[in-house]
Amino acid sequence: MRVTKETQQETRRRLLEAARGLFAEQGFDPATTREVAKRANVANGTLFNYFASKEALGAALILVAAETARAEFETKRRAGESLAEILFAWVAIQLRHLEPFRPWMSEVLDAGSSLLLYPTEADETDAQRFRRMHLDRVATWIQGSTRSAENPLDLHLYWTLFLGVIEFWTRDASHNQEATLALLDRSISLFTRGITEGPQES
Amino acid sequence: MESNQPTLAELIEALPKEYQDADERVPARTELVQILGELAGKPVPTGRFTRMWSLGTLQAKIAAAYLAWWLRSGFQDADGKRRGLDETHVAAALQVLSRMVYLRGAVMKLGQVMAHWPNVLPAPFSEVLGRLHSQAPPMHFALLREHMCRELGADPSEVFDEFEPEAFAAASLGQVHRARIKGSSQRVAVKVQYPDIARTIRDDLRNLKASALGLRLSGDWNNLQKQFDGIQRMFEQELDYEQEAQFQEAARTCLAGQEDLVVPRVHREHSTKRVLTTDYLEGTHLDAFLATNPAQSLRDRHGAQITRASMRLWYRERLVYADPHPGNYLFLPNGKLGLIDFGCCHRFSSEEFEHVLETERAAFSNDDARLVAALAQSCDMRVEDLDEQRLGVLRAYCDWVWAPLRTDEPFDYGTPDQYREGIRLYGEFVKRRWIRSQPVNVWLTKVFFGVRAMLTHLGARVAYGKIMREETLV
Repeated sequence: MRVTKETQQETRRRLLEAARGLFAEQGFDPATTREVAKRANVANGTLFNYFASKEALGAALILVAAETARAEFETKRRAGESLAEILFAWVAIQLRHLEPFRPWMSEVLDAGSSLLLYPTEADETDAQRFRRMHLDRVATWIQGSTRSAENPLDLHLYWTLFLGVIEFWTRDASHNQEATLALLDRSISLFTRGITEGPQES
Repeated sequence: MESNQPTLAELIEALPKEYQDADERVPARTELVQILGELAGKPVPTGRFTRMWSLGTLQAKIAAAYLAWWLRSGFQDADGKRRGLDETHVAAALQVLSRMVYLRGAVMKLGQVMAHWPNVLPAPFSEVLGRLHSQAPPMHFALLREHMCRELGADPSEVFDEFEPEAFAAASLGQVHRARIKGSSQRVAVKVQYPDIARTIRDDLRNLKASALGLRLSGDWNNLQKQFDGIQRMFEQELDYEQEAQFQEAARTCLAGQEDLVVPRVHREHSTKRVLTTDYLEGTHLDAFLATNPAQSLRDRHGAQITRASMRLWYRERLVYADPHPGNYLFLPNGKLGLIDFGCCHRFSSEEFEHVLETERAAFSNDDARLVAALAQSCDMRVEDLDEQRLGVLRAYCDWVWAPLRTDEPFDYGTPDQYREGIRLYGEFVKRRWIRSQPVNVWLTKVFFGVRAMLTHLGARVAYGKIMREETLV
């Protein structure tokens, strides 16, 4: 039987919803792909036609949330924002949308199959989309702000800071993760000063 | 804004004269100047907000310098051996301060507190601190917005019809924005605390306590610890806007019968531990009010309002409005007085309140033994341990506190000498290291000096004693 594109999309959506619910209820570690497939009413083997692993499922959920965050970010743009403000909002809004996944995001990161770090072949597309979406925007803002040619090192530095903030955030026990907001502000400030003013004296 | 920031030279110049004139042989001074010099050239690495850093750096630097001076001033009269030992302690304290990068938030707050005590500090020093306080740079809007979004569960634009992105005032550990609640004509003031500042200050206080343990400033260590715990609670309470909302609501209810005193209403549905939304009051602060060259009668009227508010909260609500500095009063266009910040309040325990009342009764009883017993209790000492010298200064200090209360006639606060005398007497305790005291006295001292500083600034004549007797009868 030929499976239509719509059916594929529907199956993928059901799997993601099932995974979202199970990860929230049981935690990421105890949940199994078998349970995800069962809850989604999909044969166990079929799940792997869509996602190579449990980590890939997690990564796909993260990507969906990041895209929702991007939409919110666009509605909140204001005239005259500084580069630091733009970058801060860009990351902070994403973190808020990723909040449901915070308890297990670090496990996805640690598993080495994260879309943020080392995407596997199966989720490479999602990972590339995420990085491209994220860094393309950042590069545009940097160029608009510094009026200088794009420096690949800038983006590398930015991505390192971004991952550092993510890692801190996944373990942040402060009220409403306000410590992460403070760290993000400091990191973004350091970064924007670094690229607009040159190296800082230590 | 940046160009108005004081330079390092200005800061050193603003240090207390005693410190500047200190003997060059004193190693602590040399070390302090070195530390100041080092700090001037680099950003504060521990502050969470880059835009706060310049404020934190300058304010913390000068606060650290003052702390060192204060430590030194405590043993000016000590003999050489003792002085040498203490110098070593001061040097150690400075090293601790340096390592801790001047205690970040706690010292910044300390600097603000000092700035609110005019005349306790030499004038130039106080002015510089005041300038630093008023220059607190705001959080950028993206940070503020995200922080509020997490606190209120919605974007400011969903909660407020208007929200001014620029802060109109700096608050203790935060900033204040004008706004209008959705679907309402009511203008409100939204106070937002800097994210993560509460944890930073708690860490700093813990570190400060740990470092003080090594200093052993006096034999009254256990008492000092009790006082320190009290100060720690004071800081922690100020970080909790829910607690502040409770105090503000209690004060609003308590003062509701006094039509010329206004306490803004709290909007609970738009308030959290980190965000406090209250009615916005249109008025002027002390400096702007004085710039209008107000008539003596108006000064007196406002002086009486300040006094009555303090007294009524004290006796009826058992609430100490403990931070009576110029930023917390608003002079309203209709001759009313607004009280706008209740972060630094203390509710007396039954035991504390009874102690305060007993001390007052003793003061007016003409029973000297009773007075001495009350003063000993205030010092957390036995009567037999209270030596004559200390008792003499205590009596003088109490006379200063109670002089305006002994008459129903207006007391003229317009003479700075009267205020300075209180400072001189208080300084005697510090200088002689008589630091043993009931923890509640931290609050009482803040009120005694804070209210009188306001009345002195105003140049008001207030029937303090008459108002007190009216309020105790209420």
